[in-house]
Amino acid sequence: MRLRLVGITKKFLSFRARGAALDGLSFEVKDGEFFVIVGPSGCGKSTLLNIIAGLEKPTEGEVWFDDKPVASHKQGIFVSPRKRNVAMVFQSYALYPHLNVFENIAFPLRVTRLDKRQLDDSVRGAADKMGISHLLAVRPKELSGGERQRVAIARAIVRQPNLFLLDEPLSNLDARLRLATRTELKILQRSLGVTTVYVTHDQVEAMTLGDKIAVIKSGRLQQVGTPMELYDKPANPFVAGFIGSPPMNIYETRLTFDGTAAQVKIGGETIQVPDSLCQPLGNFKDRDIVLGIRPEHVSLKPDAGPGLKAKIDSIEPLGRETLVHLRVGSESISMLSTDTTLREEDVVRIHPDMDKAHVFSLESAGG
Amino acid sequence: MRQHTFGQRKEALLFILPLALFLGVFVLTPVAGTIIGGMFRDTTFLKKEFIFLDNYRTLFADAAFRQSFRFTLLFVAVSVPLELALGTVFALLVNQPPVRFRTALRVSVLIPWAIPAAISGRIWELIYNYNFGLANYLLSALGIRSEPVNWLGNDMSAFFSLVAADAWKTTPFMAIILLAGLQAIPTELYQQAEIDGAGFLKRFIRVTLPILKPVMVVALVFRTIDAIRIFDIVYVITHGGPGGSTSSLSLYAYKYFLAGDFGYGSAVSFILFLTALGLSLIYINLGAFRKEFRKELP
Amino acid sequence: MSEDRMRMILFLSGSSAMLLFCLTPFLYMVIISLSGNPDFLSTKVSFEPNLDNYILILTNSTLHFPDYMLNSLIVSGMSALICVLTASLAAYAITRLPVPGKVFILLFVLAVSMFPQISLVGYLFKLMTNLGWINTYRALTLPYVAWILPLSLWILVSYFSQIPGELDKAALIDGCSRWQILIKVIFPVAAPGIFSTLLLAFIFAFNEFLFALMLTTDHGARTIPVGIASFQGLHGELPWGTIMAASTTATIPLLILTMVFQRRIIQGLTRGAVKG
Repeated sequence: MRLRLVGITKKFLSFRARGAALDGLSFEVKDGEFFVIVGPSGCGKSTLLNIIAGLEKPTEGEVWFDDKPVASHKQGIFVSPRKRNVAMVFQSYALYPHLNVFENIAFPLRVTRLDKRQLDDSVRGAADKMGISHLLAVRPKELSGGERQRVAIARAIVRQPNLFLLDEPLSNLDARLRLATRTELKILQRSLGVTTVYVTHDQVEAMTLGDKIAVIKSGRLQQVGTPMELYDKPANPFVAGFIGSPPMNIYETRLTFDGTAAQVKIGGETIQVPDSLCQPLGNFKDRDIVLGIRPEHVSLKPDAGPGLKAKIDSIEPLGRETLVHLRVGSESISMLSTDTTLREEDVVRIHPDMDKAHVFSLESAGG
Repeated sequence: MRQHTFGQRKEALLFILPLALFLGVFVLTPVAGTIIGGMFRDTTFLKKEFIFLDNYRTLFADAAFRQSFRFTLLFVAVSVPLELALGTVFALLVNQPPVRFRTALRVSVLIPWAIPAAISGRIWELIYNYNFGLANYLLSALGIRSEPVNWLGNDMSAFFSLVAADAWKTTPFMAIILLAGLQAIPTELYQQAEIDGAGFLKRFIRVTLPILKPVMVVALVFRTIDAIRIFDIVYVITHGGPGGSTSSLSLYAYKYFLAGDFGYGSAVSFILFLTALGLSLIYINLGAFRKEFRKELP
Repeated sequence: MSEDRMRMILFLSGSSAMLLFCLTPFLYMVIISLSGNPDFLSTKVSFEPNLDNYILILTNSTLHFPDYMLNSLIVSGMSALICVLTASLAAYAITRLPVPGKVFILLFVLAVSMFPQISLVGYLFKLMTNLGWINTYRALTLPYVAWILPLSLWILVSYFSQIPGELDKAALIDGCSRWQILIKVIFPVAAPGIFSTLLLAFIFAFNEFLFALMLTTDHGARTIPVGIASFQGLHGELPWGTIMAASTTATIPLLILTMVFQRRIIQGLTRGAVKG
């Protein structure tokens, strides 16, 4: 099923109400796509998911399932969640504590009054798929976190929903389990082929899971794109800083033109900026910009020549690589390096690969 | 609780409607009826007549009413603090006893609470019996006094007899509420105090009491408002005697209702209502209460 | 002396005193009920336990004791059921639906619970007289429900608000209507809390005195507390043995409830009183 959001706006009247407002969001999720909504906590992503599910009404805008509007402010349409045939997995899993695993999974089918044998088959099928067939008689409180999560997913897939909604489903798992489940979720989604909307605050999750990612901040859509698009061509400094790990180095600086080349200053040191970067800004004569350089695009420069003189503040070994925090004048910069001889307090020369740097206009940083 | 903005307000109000109906018809309307009724002469034999505040004029000049008012306030002032003190001791005892005594202790403490007040009134009436009651028997058996005391026969002893009976019946309630407060105190606090070298008594004064204070305030005011409407025990044990010295406001009003004087009875009831309302308003505005209360609000 | 030992001694002496205070009147009631002559303490007559008093109250039809008991059980049971049902609906709406003025409703209900009963009973007496309901079960049940509602509501709101909101959302998405959520999810999940409330409501109704005193006239609807309070016996002198036998019998259902559900009762009471 194809999901389309048009100008979704949500305002909360009461100041006591928690949940973030949304401001004119539009995007489309293609049939069978794994779509991730990512943003810092409080950005409104869960509200958005609730609106898709029908748990909340949008103040303005429309939600379309294929060619049918399920919520439209203008047409006065609102289809209740029970008639949308969506399934949702919650952060807390929201298992019914008074029912055993079988009945938890069967719950959505019981409400629709499916016949006994069909119900039994569906429940066992879903439990099989999630590898929890041996737990059917157990109550949720006796399950581990990982098992609960499997039950929640089984409950979601048992009814063959049009749309699969997941609200931070991995955040209550420990690190190892999270990694394993992430892979499994992706495989499961592929095999079911159900359109999936996944909400998370974790950009690594977003990057690894999503066919497409929507980045949201303060209720506004920042960018929609494939993981690589977001990584390579972030639309604004927020997306640039949010996507990618370790996070991008970001500087507010001034772009100047000395007659032959554009250049910027970082911590008092000057670097040249290639023309290709400046072109999107149009007229780049003397203007304030935001410059972003990923740590992986900064390297050591052993010999003299163009580069920045920097002093090492701290070193974080990550295993294969080392994350090095340095100081250039008054600015700090981080870099990924494989050099294990570096020590704190060392003074080195570094070279940011400016061809891979990002330049944003100052206005784009406001949103 | 999270705010849910889905769902219809009309639907929501439908769920509250039965509650509103019950309270409206059987509490609010009666109170309004009492307020209005208090402004009428409304007795069995005379014609019903609007007399506005005349009942209240009569009331304030009525020595028996003033005595009832005095008794009620005095009763609250003596019994509630006593029950609070006793309840605190009970709560401490029941809080962390050796495990094998726990259930037995708690059930025993609950027994007086579970027995209907009218029945406990009967028990105490018998205990105070001049000829063969337990109270006089104990006095002579323990060699404290050979002459039997006429417990319910004079003002002072009748008053304290009622206080004792009420304390028996309601201290458990006090204890249970305070127990909940005690159990909310994290054990780390005691351990910390113990490490700091605080003794048993010091821990109670420095740790337990300050944390228990808000709960104590809540319990205190709950009981105050309950005690001010005291009826059952007085009705059974002394029936207001001797000579009306232990007639509570509720009992006083009841006697007028019983005699068919609804106007005057309503006026007396309304005075009690106002007193209780005043106290509840104070209650609702108490800081300690507010704090406890806010935590629970959706 | 070590502190532990001192504490043990304090605990033992304190508990003994407490138990003596709590249990003596109760045991006294039981002992007198088993004795043919309540004055055995003073007159040096020997105490010979027998069940004569119990046989009398259960068999003598002019005392109407079984009637009072039955009335109490029926009225308290019905009141508790209706009350908890009504309060559950309201608590559900208050904790989970967009009800305007929730705080006001809760505060208002709290204020209502503090009204003295005497300020209602005069009007209720007239109302029930006009309706011809005096001395009927409904004349007691309806005011009882209203009377116990505030406490029940507060306890239930406290229980319901602890059920995570995501359960409602899950049920909504699984296809439940508002009603179905209440019946299939909230009620079962809150069952222990609802049961505690039911118990408390029953005990409060069973204890009620003033309404029963005013709104009933005889064994047709009179409840056991009023029955025992106005027990005059058959011949002048108060038959204390009989009264205590009746009191003991009337207390039995409450005692059983208290013993079996001690934890639930304490939990319910503290919810209603401390936490709100």
